[in-house]
Parts: sequence; C-alpha cells; structure tokens
Amino acid sequence: MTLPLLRLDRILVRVAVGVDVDDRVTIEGIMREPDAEAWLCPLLLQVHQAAVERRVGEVVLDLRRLGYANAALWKCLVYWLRLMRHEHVARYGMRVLTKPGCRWQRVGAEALGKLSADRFIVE
Amino acid sequence: MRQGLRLDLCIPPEWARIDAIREAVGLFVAAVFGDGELRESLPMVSAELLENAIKYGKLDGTGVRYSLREDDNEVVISVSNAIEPGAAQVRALAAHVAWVGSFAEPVAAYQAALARLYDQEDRPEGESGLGLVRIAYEGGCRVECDTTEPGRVTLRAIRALPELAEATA
Repeated sequence: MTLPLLRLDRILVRVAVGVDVDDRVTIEGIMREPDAEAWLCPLLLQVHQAAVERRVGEVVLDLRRLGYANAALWKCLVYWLRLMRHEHVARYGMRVLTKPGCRWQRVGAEALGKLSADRFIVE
Repeated sequence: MRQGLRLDLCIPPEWARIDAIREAVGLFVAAVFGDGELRESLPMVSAELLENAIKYGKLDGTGVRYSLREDDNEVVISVSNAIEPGAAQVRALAAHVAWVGSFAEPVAAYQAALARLYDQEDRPEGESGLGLVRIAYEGGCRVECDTTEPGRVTLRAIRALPELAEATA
C-alpha cells in the first residue's frame, strides 16, 4: 500500500503527498513563514503514521522545486527523523531529492542524514 | 574599478518584508559577484538575521535596521533591533552566539544543534538556534552579538570574501 493523497497549500509553499508519484512528499515554492512547525509537523506526523500503518518501504522527499526555506524546514525534518527513530514496527527509509547545484539543500540534507545514516539517502 | 557593495535599510518589523530583502540582496550580490556561492549564502544570512530580529525584538517604532557592507575583503551584514532592558532573550542570544563560536569548525556547531533537536522528545517549539548555526555553516560567516548600543542588540555576520574571480566562479 502507498501513502494517501494529501495536499497542503500555503501562501508561497505547497506540500503534496503522493500526488504525482506514490510515496513521494514534494515541497515546492518558498518556505519562509514564521510558524512552519505549526502546520508542517502535523502533516509530517500524518505521513509517518500512514507510512508505518501501510508498511511503506521508502518515502521520497522531493525538494527540487523548493526555491528557499528558512531554518524551520530543517527543524521540521528533524522532527520527522525523530518519529522514525521511535518506530520499531515498520521501519521505512527516507530518500531526499535535492536540486543539482543547490548548495543549501545539499548541505542541509547531508547534515540531517548524519542523524539517521542507516535510513536516509541524499540524492 | 568598482565600489564596495553597500546597502542600508530601516524596515518595520513585519515578517512579509524579509523575503523582499532576501530577494533584493540576491540581486545585488549577483550584480556585483555573479551567480556564485555568495549569491546563495548572503540572502539566506540576511533572511535568518531579520527573522531573528522580528521574532524576538521589541516593537517600539524604531524599526529593524539592516546593513550590508563590503569592506576590506569581507562582507558584513548587520541587523539591529530594539530590546527590553535586561531581556533574558538577549542574554540567551549572546550565549548562543558564543556557543556557535566555540566550535573549531562551523559544521560541528551545525551538527550539534541538529543533534540537540533530535534528542528532544516533543514537537519543536520556540527557538532552536538553527538559524544562527546555518549562518555560520551554510553562510560561512563569523557571528557577533553586540549589545553596546543602549536599548538595542545588533547581530553581525561577517564573511571573508574570496578574490573576485573565485567569488564569481
């Protein structure tokens, strides 16, 4: 089974789950809102719970169309990794797609990967 | 012969202003240095400093001061905001800046800040300090906290400039 279709539109950023490709979370636009944790963390929790229940093997996080994000993005992604750490029933991996040549995405994602190296791949 | 990059602004403490400045700084930097790594890092540094000032500054009508100056082979980005006298927030900010500076390499500060968040049990709330470590690591900046001006705090991010040819590569 795959992740359910989810979609969240904010002023400048859109998060889509499973819309174009199964088991893919796409974040696109400009993420610069002051309270990103308040809306993004609940969505990531929903994705995590669905991934566990449906025994998804890998979730792909696609950042390639994300032009800019403030530090709140990384804070939310650390939260997601924490959820994964506590999961012992169905362990899924995460693959992060970064935009080629985009240093901030690459640097941030690679640093995240060091927290959970066995379940995290950066492309 | 070119003149050093220089930009001085005073803005109302409104979140919506941050992105306009981030984009403007990106265009200025691209005009002077081309589309190299500075084009990506200096706008991010500007935005993170402004976010910090607007989130935690005192609303007293004096606004948030932003300055970007190229001087002696370095770029200095300063953001200043009003503070409540003796505010605990300022002491915490100064302590965090000192903590970031205590690492031999900024990547270690960045990784330590992520690890600290990772070890929390609850959903992230409040200040994580990720913005400042991002400035140090991703932005390649030394960060200073200046409280010498009464009633204000100034954060400075200082980035050594490579030779122009390297900066535009």
